[in-house]
Amino acid sequence: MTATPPTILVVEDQEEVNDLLQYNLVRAGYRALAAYDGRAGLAAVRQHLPDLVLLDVMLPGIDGWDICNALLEDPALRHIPVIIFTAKGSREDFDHGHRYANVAGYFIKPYATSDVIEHVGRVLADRQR
Amino acid sequence: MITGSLLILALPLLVFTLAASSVLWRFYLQQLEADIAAQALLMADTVAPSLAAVATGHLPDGAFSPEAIASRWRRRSDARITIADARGVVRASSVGEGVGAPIDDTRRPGMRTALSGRSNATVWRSPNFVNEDTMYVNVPAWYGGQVTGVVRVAHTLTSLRKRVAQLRQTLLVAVLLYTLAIGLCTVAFAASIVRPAERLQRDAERIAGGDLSHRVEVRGPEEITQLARTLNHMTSRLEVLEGLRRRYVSDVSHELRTPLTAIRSMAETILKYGDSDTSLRERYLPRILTQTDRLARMVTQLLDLAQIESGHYVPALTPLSLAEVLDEVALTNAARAADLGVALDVRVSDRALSVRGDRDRLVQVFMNLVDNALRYTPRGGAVTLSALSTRGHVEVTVADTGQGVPPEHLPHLFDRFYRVETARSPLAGGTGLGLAIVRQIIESHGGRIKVTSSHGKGTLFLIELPGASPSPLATRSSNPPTTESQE
Ligand SMILES: Nc1ncnc2c1ncn2[C@@H]1O[C@H](COP(=O)(O)OP(=O)(O)O)[C@@H](O)[C@H]1O
Ligand SMILES: [Mg+2]
Repeated sequence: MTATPPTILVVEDQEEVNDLLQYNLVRAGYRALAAYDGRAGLAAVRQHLPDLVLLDVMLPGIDGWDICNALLEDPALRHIPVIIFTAKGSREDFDHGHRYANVAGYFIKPYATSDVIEHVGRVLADRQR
Repeated sequence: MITGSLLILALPLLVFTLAASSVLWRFYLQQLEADIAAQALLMADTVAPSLAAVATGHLPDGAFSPEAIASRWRRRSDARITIADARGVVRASSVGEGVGAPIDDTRRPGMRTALSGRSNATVWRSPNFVNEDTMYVNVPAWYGGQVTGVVRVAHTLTSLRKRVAQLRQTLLVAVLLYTLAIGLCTVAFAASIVRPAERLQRDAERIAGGDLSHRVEVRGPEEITQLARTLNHMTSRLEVLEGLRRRYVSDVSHELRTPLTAIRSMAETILKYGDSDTSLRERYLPRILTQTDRLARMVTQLLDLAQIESGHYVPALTPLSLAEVLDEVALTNAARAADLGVALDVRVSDRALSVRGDRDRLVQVFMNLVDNALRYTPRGGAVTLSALSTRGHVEVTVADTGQGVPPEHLPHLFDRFYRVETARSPLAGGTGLGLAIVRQIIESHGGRIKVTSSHGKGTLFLIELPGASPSPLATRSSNPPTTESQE
């Protein structure tokens, strides 16, 4: 295993939730980066070009969908898969997610962290092929 | 139903038409008889002398001969004149019929009766030609006290009948057209009411079925459009309320799921990696407790809010001493304030100051406000509760010397779930429901709450409550009831 591990950016404003996602990602062998609001999240994507983004919808400042749009508009970032978290749990948010080509998954809070990590692996494997 | 009412309308008109034409017929007939009788009388007088000459053989000067009289009538188609002498022999006829022959009374009745001196009139119905009815008027010709002959005028009734028939037809057509017109008007009117009403009902059912974005068409007569407008107004309000409800449910879902996510992530991670990384337990188990408490607090507050907002909540208003309420709140928070190094004071100049209210709910109000004030005031600061009476109102203030609220947040402070600090902040133990509950309680008491704040210097909540007259309190504080009647 000489190749560098894939980098995952976690954009989530709840600090301990963010920290725990990072912790689990690292323990699963990924490199984890964190952003705690929308603006910082977008800046982090641009700066670090992560392999995948875990994105909370309800964020202070720019919300998750705005970030999805911003990524899609940038040819350098549009290929980066995004996994969405929402605490609304309404049908509308789910349907909304299907409008974005870069959304590769959708979890309603509270999710099982193990499911998220598993899904991250699956999405990255799909991208590799 | 419409056909029925039209029949009821048309039937009397039909009966009237038939009756009117029959009355008219009889009237015309009488008129005709009178006309003919007058003519016949005139003729009889004219011809009487010459008829007398038939008997005497001498025609007096200036007398008209029967032939001359009859021929003058020849041109008239409807009337036929026959003149007979005293013996009953026909002397002249305007149609030149049976002259010289005796009167044939079987076909033309009444001539002999007239010869005996009695005028008469008959309507004779021809057996051959159904429509060739004829009116016969026979008038005796008197001369020198003697009946010298008879003049008969026969008049066919064909044209009269035709005229009456035409009249009846015209009337019938008029009745028919009138009924038809009324019918059409009725149908049109009914349709103009019924059709929009049916449309309204369909639309209302669609709205009742849950499509609150649907609006009914405002069209049709005044009453209907009025109803439609009212319905649309109602639907708009429902739509707004439904939007609020949806947002509220969505907000509640979000607010409950957020701590649950943290709790689940912590528990799951400890379970999975706790053995290999012992720091996880130390770090996250207390956080699980904190988040669980916060969740429980939120559920309690949500239930409180739901109860107060349900419309069933009417505060049980009893006269309360404000000083007592504020003292209780201060006492409950004294230990915590001391721990935090914040001075907590109650300043009520008038100990008798009272309000009418629900004691437990008002305690809840000031507990929430003091809880906030203590939370957002740094060590060394002060939190002061004070009360004073103004113009029938009681003003209570909760002031702190804390961090304050940035002005852009002030308008939202009383919104449900609204918090100034982000979730990252270490003070994120709040739920954002406290001030929403406070406002609901104050408003249910008929009061108002305002907030002023200067960032970095402190915050002041001002509560205005309707005051209570101090006498009931005085009564309660063991004064004899007679004090009231003495005044
Ligand atoms: N005394 C105060 N000083 C500064 N900020 C305050 C004060 N009281 C309330 N706030 C702000 O208003 C927000 C809403 O208060 P509240 O409804 O009581 O919710 P909670 O206290 O549960 O967060 C708080 O999160 C806080 O940001
Ligand atoms: Mg509070």
